[in-house]
Amino acid sequence: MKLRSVTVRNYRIHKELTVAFDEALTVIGGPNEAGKTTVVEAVHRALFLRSRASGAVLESMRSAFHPGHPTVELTFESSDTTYTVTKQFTGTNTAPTTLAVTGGQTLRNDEAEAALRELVQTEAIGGRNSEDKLRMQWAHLWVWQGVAGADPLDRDAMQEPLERLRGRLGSLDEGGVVESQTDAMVGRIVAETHASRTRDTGVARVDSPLGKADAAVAEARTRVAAARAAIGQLEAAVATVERTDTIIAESETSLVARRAEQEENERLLLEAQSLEVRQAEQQAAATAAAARLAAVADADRQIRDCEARITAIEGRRTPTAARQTAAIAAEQEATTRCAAAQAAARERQREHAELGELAELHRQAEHLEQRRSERAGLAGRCGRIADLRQEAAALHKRLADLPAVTAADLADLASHERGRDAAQAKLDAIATRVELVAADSAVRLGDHELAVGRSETIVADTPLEAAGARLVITPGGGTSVAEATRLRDAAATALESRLRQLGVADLDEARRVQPLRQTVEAALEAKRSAIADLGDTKADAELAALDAELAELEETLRGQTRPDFSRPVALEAATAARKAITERLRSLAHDVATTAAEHQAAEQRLADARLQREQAADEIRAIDGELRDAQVRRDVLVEEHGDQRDEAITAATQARTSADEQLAATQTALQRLQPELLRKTAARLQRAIEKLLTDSRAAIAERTVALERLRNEGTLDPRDDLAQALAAERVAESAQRQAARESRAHALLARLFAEKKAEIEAQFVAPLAERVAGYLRCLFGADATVSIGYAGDMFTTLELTRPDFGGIALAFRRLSGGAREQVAAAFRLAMAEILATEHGGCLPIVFDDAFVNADPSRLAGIQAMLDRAADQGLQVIVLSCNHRDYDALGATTVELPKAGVSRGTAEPGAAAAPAGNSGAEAAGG
Amino acid sequence: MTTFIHTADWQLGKPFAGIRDTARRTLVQQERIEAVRRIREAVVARQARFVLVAGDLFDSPTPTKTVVAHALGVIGEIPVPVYVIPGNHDHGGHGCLWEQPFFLSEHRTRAPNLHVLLEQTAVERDDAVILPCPLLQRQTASDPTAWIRQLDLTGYADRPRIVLAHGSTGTFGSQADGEDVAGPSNVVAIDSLPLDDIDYVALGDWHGFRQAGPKAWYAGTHETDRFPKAGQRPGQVACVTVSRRGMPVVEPIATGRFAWVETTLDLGDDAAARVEETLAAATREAGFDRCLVDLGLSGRVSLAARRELDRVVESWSHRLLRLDVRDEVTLVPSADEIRGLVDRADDPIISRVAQALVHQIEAGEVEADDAREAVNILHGLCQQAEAAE
Repeated sequence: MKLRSVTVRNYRIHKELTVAFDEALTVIGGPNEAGKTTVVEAVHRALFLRSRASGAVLESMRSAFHPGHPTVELTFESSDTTYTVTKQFTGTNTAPTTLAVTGGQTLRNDEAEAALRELVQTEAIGGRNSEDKLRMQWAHLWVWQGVAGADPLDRDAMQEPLERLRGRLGSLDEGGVVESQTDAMVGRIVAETHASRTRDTGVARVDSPLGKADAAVAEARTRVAAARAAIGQLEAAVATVERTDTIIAESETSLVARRAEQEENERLLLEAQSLEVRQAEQQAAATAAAARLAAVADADRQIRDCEARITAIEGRRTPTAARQTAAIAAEQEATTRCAAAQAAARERQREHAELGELAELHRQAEHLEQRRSERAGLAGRCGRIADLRQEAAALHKRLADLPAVTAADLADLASHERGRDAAQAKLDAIATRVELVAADSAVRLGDHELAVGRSETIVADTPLEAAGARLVITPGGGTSVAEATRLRDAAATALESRLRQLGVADLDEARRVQPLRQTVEAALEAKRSAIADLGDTKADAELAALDAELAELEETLRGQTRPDFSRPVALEAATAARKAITERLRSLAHDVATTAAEHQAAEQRLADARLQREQAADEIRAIDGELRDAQVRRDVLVEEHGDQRDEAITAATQARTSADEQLAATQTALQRLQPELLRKTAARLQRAIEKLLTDSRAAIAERTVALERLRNEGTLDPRDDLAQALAAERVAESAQRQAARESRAHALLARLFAEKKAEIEAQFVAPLAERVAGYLRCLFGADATVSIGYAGDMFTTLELTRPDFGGIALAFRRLSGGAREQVAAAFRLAMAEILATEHGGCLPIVFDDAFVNADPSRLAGIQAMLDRAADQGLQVIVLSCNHRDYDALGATTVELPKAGVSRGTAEPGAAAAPAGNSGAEAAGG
Repeated sequence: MTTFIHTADWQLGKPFAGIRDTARRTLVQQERIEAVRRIREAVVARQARFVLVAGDLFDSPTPTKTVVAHALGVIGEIPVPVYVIPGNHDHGGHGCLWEQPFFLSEHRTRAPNLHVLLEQTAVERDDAVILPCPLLQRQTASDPTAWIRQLDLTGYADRPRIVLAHGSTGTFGSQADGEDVAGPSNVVAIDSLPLDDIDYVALGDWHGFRQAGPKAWYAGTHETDRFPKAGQRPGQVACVTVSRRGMPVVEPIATGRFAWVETTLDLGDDAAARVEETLAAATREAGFDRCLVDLGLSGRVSLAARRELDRVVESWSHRLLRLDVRDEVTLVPSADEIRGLVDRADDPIISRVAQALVHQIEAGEVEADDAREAVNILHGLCQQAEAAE
């Protein structure tokens, strides 16, 4: 089916407009509100809306500008026949519809509508409120504004065309097998059976045949294990009885043997014990004999030891006595020599003392002469000091006669003088000066006469009289002159007062006196310094002290009466005498030391001799004591043990030998019996017998328990039970194998059904997917693929896979807005291509502003896609407010004029003629 | 001349665990008691002087009191002395059933004619000397008859000497029966016996009636208890007439009633019919309710034939006392069946699934058996679906 042209009258903005469509590609351009959408809507209404439709649908079609009923005249071609359908939408039941076949008959009204229905293969929409239904007619071919990005698989919007597509796919030669009802029913049973038997994890469900078989096998195995355990217990009990029988029998045999051994051991042990008693008695006798022999022999040895010791002590005493005698003689000689040395030492000491006193006298005499010599110098210095004191007194007196003007005073006076001169100068400046330059007669000023050439200062009203004239001169300045006068007088008074205070007449005198005072004061200070340098009053005191010392020395020497002392008369003589006697004194001191040393040596020798003598005496005393002790001990021992000691020793020796021999015989007999071993054997045998008894008792107890276990309760034969359990196990295992095989078979069936279903579904949609991909490759490259999900008689998913997007399959809803528009367009084109076979191989498809989200770079791809659609026989009609975007499409372009009220014909390739209606009609609209 | 009945291996109380149905298992167990009653009839008919039971009177050394009570009750009905030795199944020894208070009590009160020979001591009768060789353990390494070789038999004069023993002669002995693992075999060295001084050796352990030596016989079990080996003749007792230095006269007497049938079939698509015919023929004589059958099936059958075969087998499994099926039949869908599944233009999924399964079966992969089972299931589901339509 192809649209050839449409003429609309009184349809919204259009008064009358004819648009001719290209067979393949038409672009209808024009600005907003040019009525592009109205044109294609009118085509849609002509095809699907009954002319008698009313209500909102009709109202939306009526023109506000043009009176008259909306009318559409559509010429189209179908199966090589050209039809023109004309509908006048009057809103009444008599609204006319005609369907004219070119070169043939014209059908009217219901007949026309019925024929049209056959051609477009859909129902007609009419009545009120049918807009929604209307929009769903050929929804896949009419991409209304705003729905271009909608999911083309949306069943609400696309149900009818998708159903039609599904049916068409099923009849395509290139694929299109579909699941039958039997397939579905068997497949459902297979899936349900498998799901009821097996979990998703592949494990059999508990209530499935295999699950029950598994449980039965487990239960049977448990029963087998229990039965085996029961038999095992019985067999263990039998084994226990047999084992304990052996233990009991062996224990009994062993017990008999051990008891016989025990009896023999007991007999030997009694024998050994008897020998042990005897051995103890003999041991005591032997010990006593040995003690007796030892005592006798010991006493004899002690007496012999004492005698030997006495002889030895006496041998040591003789040389010691001789050494004592020699020591006494040596002590006496040393005493004599010591007394002589002591006397000589004392004589030298006395002589030394006497010479020492004489030497002191000579030293004092020498000192006196030295002090006398020192006094002469000191007396001269005291005389010089007295002279200087007299010169200083004269200078002091001269200074007292001069006015006491210091440099500070002089400065002070000068300051006062400058103050007075300043006060005067100030007064002079403000006072009135009068100077008599020349006069013939006397001029008197105030109380005195003015001299020629002399100026005077007037500070108060002063009369001036000259040549009979009397003038009074009044100085200006008010009280300032008087104040200046007072200040000048005060300064002058202060200067005078200061001069009087210093005792000078004026400042000049003061300036003359002050240097003179400075000169005198310097001379006076020089004298005082010289006096101080000579010692001043200290020199006087020294002289007095020296005189006192000299007097005392004189007194001392004057009283000396020693005959060997003669007082020297001069310092040199005194010094010589003192040195001579000092030398003698040093010599005599040496002698004193020598004799003292000799005396000390003699005393040491005496002490040594005394010590030798005392040591010899001590040794003699010790030896004598030792000798006495030995003799007393010997005498006591002899007294105690008598003189017949040899006989006693012989008798004791014999007694001991006899006792030892008896003891040895008993010990030999005892060793043969090994009593310790006998005792250990007794303990060992006792232990063994006890253990045998214990083992036997334990075995008897164990046997009793085992026999009791063997006593058949009799309601169940454990071997029978085991046989039953094993049979049940075999049956259960067989059933398990069968159930497992069945379960695997069901799983296999379920898997194959799922696989084959998916396979035919994929095969079913393959022609569609390949066509969609063919369009999208124009946009996304040669490797782009499309996947269309189909399950349960429904198209479920639409996914695009692009190599430049990493080969990831993106679901339609995850695409961008632009991509959604383009993928949806591709899907619609593919649908149209497949469905076109029912319409003579061609269908129109309208895109009304369907690619508004496409970026400029994508436009070329979109045009290639549309061109491909045209190549496949589709009639593509694109509406765009910017038809230049589709320049590269090579399409026929129809450009509607800008908003206005149109009337004219829009032929392909030319702009529609301007509207013929008046502007007033437009304004009136 | 002394006539007696030689029997053995009654194995009363045998569980027959392979029979899953309790009622039928009880029937088979009870028949072993009834067979003892038929021995009593033989005793009476042949005027036997006594009965020798050569071991394994009970199946277990720990039979239930019920089994003991039934056994001693029916033994007590026998009008002559019954001599029994323990065998490997009901061996003596510590805690053995022969010492159990209940057994002793029942023995004393209800079967005083029963003589349990637990010692290797000759039992002297006026008409015979019985030389018992009891087994006091399940397995013994020594020859139970060894003591006889040491025995001075001269004192027994002209009385026939009868050895009563249980074990293998080296050629014959107990064997596994599918339920009971073959136990350790106790060897009876009959060739070492002083045969000139012995007149008959009454043996137990081999379940068929069979001569084991010049004077030695196995009586076999009195009622068949397993699928017999070829040539084995169970279900009989021996009626023996002996005299000192004479060769014994031994005659088998049938006492068993149940038929244990073992057969194998290689099947094709007529599997059900063949099984039906075969089992009908095999059980005709004894009667289906007295038969126990071991059926080995092999061959290749179609899905439909398999279904029919299963139906027939199920029917027989309820008719017979016991039916063991060793099923090694391979399921091979027929060409029509395969076509019926694969050639479904209107059911593309079923068709493709069937193709995949057929491919797996033909490839003989590990999962081929699973695939066969799956084909079977699919076939059934399709039939159901078609029936629903």
